[in-house]
Amino acid sequence: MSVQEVPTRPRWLRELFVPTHWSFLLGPVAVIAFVVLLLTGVVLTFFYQPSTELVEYDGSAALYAGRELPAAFSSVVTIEEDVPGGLLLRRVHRAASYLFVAALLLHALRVLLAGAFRGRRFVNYLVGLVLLALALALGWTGQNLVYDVVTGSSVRIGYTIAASIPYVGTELADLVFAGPDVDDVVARLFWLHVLLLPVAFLLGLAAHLWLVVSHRHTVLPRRRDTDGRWLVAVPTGVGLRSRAAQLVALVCALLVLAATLVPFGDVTHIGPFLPGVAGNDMYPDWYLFPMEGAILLLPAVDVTVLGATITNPLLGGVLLPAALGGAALLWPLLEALFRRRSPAEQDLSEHPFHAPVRVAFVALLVTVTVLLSLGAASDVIAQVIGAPVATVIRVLRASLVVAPPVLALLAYWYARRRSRQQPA
Amino acid sequence: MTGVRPGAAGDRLRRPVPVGVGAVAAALLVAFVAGVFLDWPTSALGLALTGALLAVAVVVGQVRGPVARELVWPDERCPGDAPVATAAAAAVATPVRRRWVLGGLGGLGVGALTGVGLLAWSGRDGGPVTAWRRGVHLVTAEGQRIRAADVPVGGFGTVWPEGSVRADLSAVVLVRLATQEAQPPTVLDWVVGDRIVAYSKICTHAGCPVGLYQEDTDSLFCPCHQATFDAARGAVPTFGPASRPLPQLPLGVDGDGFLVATDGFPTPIGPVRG
Repeated sequence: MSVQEVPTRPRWLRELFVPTHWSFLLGPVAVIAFVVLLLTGVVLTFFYQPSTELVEYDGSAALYAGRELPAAFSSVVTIEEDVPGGLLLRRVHRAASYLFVAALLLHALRVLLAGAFRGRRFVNYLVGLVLLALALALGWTGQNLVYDVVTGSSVRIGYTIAASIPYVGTELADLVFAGPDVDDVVARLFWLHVLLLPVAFLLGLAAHLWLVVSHRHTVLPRRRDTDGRWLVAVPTGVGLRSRAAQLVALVCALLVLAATLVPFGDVTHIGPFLPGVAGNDMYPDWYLFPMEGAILLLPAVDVTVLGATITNPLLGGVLLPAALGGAALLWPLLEALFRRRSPAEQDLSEHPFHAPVRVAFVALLVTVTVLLSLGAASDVIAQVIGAPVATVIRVLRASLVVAPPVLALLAYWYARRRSRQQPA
Repeated sequence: MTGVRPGAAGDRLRRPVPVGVGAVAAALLVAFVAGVFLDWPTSALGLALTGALLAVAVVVGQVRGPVARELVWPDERCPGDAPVATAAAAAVATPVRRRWVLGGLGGLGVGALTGVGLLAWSGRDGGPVTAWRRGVHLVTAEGQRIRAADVPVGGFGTVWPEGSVRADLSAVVLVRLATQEAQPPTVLDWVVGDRIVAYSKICTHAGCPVGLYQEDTDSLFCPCHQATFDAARGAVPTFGPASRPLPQLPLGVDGDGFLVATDGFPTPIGPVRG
């Protein structure tokens, strides 16, 4: 078989859509979910009102008939109850946001584990981290537009975390959130969610994809040639477009089916935000659990150093997430110092087991994130196992110190054993 | 190269099964659009659209070619493209890019420093302002003044300054202690009848409303992050992430027996700022 017979397809497609391994499809799935979010989001803005003024609800939801509701919440109820197909539209938007963040997180994990951040691809790895942060910001601003009972606390927590930054926190928080009053925040979040953040994400995404094409996608090693060079698996380009189209259709079908079966984010029975009201089961969307858990699990701190007050929201909401993000950011640099590889080898998608220290590092990151997420649900855990909340929190605090290093060591040992069984 | 003929995909599309599935897709899509206008239930709309998309996926799958990958050397991934090593070398050999990157980073740094300086210079306020003043009555959400004698055990979850009902940051939790009389560090002058105390409802940890009062321990409890305060002892934090007590509202009784604030909050309410 000679290479010249392969029908050529545009190079950008061959680099951006590489169906030689399922994990290479996580990025494309995230992009598809983002496009679904853009399309459904545009339609949602036709009906949404970014206002907290009290209006009399005159839609068909019996629960709210004749009641005074904040305009934002009222318009969300109207979308669900009275806009044709509106309930499905909202649920698809919500389901797509979950798939979007999940695919991004798994994509980042794949890139880390496979060493696809090495060499010239480091720049694009940084762009990817920025995109991940933007995606979380998009999710947070979006879920608070609903102006339900959770919004009040969620916005207040966000403001507190921003205001806890020494010296500039209060001014920064006022700048971003337009003041500590929850009423003022929704209009600001609306423009962040529908204009500023999506445009920033689109620009970042364009840069990310352009860099993927110009750096070229990493390739799966298959076996060694007789002279010791790697042979790699690459798509020939045949059937690539139809496969991409098939993936789009399947992801969309999955989203619509999920939205049909699961009531993602339905607000009818949650109730609007009213000042002074708090429920017992108020949680942000799952991808914010690590941050929520961090400010819950870390102990009370109140120290003033050089005029800066260090408190729990600063530690858990700013410094700990920054440390996790910073560790992920600096890891490629550390690896470049201690684990040198030739440029040709950096183009190969490595099997994780062949880099045991990296596996240990990822295990550390994942364990911390999962334990913090469990912390956000500590009251639910307490209910399920029938123990006092305080006990659950103390156990989680202890495991936050003990478990990450232990699991990292275990992961290192296991990866090393596997890599010895199957040497590269 | 095996099995790829010109027009092969077209041939397969003309077989009866893809045509049938394509027709189903079209029918379901029409049904979905009609359903939107006819106001069908969400489940019917969703299932129609799911079916249409799955049918589209099946039809598109028929166009797929049989060979998707091959084994080559890394340098020969795409005929006609420059080898990877050359591309990498070219990227390193352009110092102009590095200058741009460094310049850009420097510019960003200067911009960020300027922004931070401007923010820090723009001055700070003394925390959120509440509507509590000397002589402002405590009222329920319906605007009713509250008689000290009428406060039940446990008290009211939320009371407001008269004239500013539902002014978010002025929310106050009014408690009649269940198991004991108020003790220091509660300011005893601000307690009515030894047991009625009022604290700011805004949690000093992250600003959530302190929603729950547990009678058996006289503790106030924030549902967001499990911060717990001792209502009988000046609302000092007893468990969880809060580091400062809830500010106590100076409470008194007017000539008619209604609860009234004798002053504003002595300390700023809400979370500590950096």
